[in-house]
Amino acid sequence: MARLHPFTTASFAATTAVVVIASGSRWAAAATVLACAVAAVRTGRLRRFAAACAAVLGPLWASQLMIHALVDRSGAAALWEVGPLRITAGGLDTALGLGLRAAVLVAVGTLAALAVDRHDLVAAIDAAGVPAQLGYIVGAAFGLGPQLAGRSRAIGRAQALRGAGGRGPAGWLRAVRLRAVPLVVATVQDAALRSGHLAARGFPASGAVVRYREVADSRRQRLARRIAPAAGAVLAVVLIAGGGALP
Amino acid sequence: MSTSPSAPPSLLAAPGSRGPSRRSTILGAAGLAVLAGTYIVLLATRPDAVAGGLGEAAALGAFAGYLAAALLLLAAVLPELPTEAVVLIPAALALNIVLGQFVGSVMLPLYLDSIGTVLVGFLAGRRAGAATGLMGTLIWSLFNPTVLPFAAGAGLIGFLAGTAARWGLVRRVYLAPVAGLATGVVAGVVSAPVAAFVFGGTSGVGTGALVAAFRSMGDGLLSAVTKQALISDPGDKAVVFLAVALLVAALPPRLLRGFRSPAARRDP
Amino acid sequence: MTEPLLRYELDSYAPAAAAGPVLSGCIVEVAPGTLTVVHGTSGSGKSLLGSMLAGLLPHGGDALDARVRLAGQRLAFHPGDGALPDRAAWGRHVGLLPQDARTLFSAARATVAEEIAFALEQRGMERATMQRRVGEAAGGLGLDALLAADPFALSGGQQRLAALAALVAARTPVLVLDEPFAGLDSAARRALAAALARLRARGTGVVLLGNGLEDDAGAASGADAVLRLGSGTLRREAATAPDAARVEGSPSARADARTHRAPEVPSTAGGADPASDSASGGARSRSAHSLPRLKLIGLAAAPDGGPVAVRGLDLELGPGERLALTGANGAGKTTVLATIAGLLPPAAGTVLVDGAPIRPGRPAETARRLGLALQHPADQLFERTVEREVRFGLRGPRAGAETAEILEQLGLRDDARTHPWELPAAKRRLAALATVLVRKPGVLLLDEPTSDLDADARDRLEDALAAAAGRGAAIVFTTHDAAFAARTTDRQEGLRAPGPGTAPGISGTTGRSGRRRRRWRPRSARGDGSPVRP
Repeated sequence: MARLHPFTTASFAATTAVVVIASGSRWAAAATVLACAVAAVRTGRLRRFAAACAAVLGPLWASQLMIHALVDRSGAAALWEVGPLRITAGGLDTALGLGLRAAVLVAVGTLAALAVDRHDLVAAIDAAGVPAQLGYIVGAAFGLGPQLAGRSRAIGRAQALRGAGGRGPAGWLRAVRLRAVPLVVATVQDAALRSGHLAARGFPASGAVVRYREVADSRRQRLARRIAPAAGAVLAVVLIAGGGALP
Repeated sequence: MSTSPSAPPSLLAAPGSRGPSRRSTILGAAGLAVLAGTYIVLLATRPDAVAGGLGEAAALGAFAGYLAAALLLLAAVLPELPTEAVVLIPAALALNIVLGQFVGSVMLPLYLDSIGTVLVGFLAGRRAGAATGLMGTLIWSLFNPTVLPFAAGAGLIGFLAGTAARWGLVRRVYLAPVAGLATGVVAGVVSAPVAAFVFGGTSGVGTGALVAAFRSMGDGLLSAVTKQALISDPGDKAVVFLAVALLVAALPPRLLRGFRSPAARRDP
Repeated sequence: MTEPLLRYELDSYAPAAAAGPVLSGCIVEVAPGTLTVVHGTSGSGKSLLGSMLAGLLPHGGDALDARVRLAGQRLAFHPGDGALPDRAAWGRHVGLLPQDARTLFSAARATVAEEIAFALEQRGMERATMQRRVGEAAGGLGLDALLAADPFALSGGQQRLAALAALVAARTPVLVLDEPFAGLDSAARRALAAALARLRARGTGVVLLGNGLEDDAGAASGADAVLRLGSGTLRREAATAPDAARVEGSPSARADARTHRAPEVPSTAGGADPASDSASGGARSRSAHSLPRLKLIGLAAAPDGGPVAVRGLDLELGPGERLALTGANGAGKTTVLATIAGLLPPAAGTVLVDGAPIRPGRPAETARRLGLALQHPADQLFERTVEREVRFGLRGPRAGAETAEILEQLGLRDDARTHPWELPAAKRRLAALATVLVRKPGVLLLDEPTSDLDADARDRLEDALAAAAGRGAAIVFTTHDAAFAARTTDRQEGLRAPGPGTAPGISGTTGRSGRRRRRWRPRSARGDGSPVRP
């Protein structure tokens, strides 16, 4: 896949998800999920793609199945009925439709998220003319995650030798407290110090920001990513108004 | 200070204006209006009661309405946040993940995904809290796209956490869970239509079973999901509010003052 | 006389909610190309003064009475007038390098190059100009090879240089550096000193805040003015002659004088020590006389999931013996300590304490035999008062008395009710040390115990180490402070890192320095023939 601007990727992904969901077609939905999986294979990201999708869709599907398929109260003939459980063909059908709809959103969204370089995304946001705080918060959340994880490990080590831990809920609470308090204090303290330096370095800028990092872009991409969502929205309205309840 | 056009920028800060600007107020009101409008339309039409069931229009409409409301609210609060709060937000979001991993690895069937949001609400006020909830959800949606329409609800949690701190409910630690319960009720009710009409389900097996139980007793989808949310959310938020209030109590007072924290004001 | 770049006349400064002024009567004037050194002990308020000069203070609610001349503007601050510095405008003229360089990083940039460019980005500078500036600033500090690295993945010394590069690229006429030399190895120290000289040659006015110990004594020798901050006020120590000579009576001279105390250190080397019985008590300590307190056999240490940093470590320490681990930044000293403590599984080899192996992943068991004080004391402090912090986990009727004793010994008695995070850096480190010492471990591991310490705190540390050794503890610590190591230990071991590393005379300078693998080179500095390799 050629390097797309992060916004182009996001725009195409959103358009695809909206149009496919609006079509109400299960074939289109299944084909979209499959196409995402194929794209993940071709870019060598199948493992991460599958893991991310499964983590989200597993519980969601289970929940949808329980809510719609197991306890259907509609008058339809039950396939199987025991105690409060009442499984009907209609209930299973509803769950399948909902499951596919969620799968489209998750597959398209996950693929797009995997395809975008996070730091390019932050640079693109910074250059987009939106409030400077937006790009900073996204970038710093990515930057501080690993740093805090490392600090958390260091704290855990120190506290282990001071008799943290122990058995049972009391020991667990103690361990949490010993880990959480220094971590939170350090984090809040660093934030207080960092904000002064950030302001002194001119953040938030009063004028336009030029990012040192260059994000590849082109006129065609810019045009395409503006037209796509507009066209998609129109298409979605047409599909829904046309009673898009395809089987 | 003279401020002729040719003069260099003054080294003294312009006196800060108290309170939000008119632009922010209008955007915030618009965001809340879109949120309320979407909620009311969904409630009035009850798409699940309509024969044929869960329409695509309802799903996309609910998704779009909640997302638009979130973006409007974000546009209202973000540009006017002091830098202290802006820097605290990503730190709190990272903290949330690290603490969540540590806590979640041990036990408890709670979400606990709002520790960072509530922390910022307590420390830096309700607008910063709202921004944390909104931004946290937007960032998390890169890993899980289904959370996107829940952003407005998360923002509300941060806003209410900041409100609780402003009312002094955090200084007395035993009152924090009460505020958490109330916040959970509001957040649960607001987010229920998304779970019901966009996804027709919940994000977990346990919560799904609860909804199924209400359904089997004859509830409609929305009321079943709402009842489930009223059982799960307040408990979760009460635990989070209590935990964060305890953490804030452990912070050195000087640090709290640095954030102009509502939690730093001492009882007379 | 040229017009000064900055003249700050501070009459008094009281932070919000403080009982009274913490700074008063400070006048700092910075002329182009000059070096002004401000000495002060930890907690003297020199970091506050630095933040004032850089316009990061006051905050709203603080009471500042001051007159400032900066960039042709005359500003006045009076308590209650609500005047606050515009941090962004001020930051164009004065840059501040904080003690913890990581707090200067925005944290929102993926590489060192982008982090250096951050301030330039905010000005909307053209990308080509920006790239040139970043290249120059990084090149001048020897950071070319690190431009693509993650700023948070650098070693502490590299982080400080990267933060300085960010300030250099922004080209502020005045730079304020808060303890820039602390904790740097000699190579980084040289790079920093050279960079400061170049900055001054270019006309930048530099203010160096130091603790007056050896770390910045060298920098002070080239100073145009040396000021000393004590009890909240600033006074001039030397004339402003352009090439002022060494400052007489500076704190560093006092620190040098302490060298003569070295003979007080009790002699050890496994000799029968009556005090050690009270230390570990019971039958085990009797057998301990024939056994080394700490013994490492062929130990190899690797950081979390990383490649092996140090291998082939053989070592024996008897009761009361003290050993300093020296080595360049990033040589693996911290990893070695964590491995000895069983917090990291050793890549190879064994650790024996009193003859019994330390089993990795059994911290509760290990904690009874061995104590570890971390490099960042903040990582282990979580209670609301120093007293509760130190007492944590102690049981029995003596807990209160033992806590009081250790606080007294470390000079923290008056701070017992203070929040540990509100202590000045030196005392905070001593408080973290107290939490370890109070458990009276047989083996004591300290990671960089001397950093942040001023002269007084260092005396306290020295006495505490002597007392711990006196009761039979074996002590291993890491440090960059060669003089301290020479004075307080029986021997030093250098961990060799690639490139110039430890100070001469401390560790062997021979040996092949591999690119990846660092070799442990035991070398006895005491020369009494005590066996290092069993």
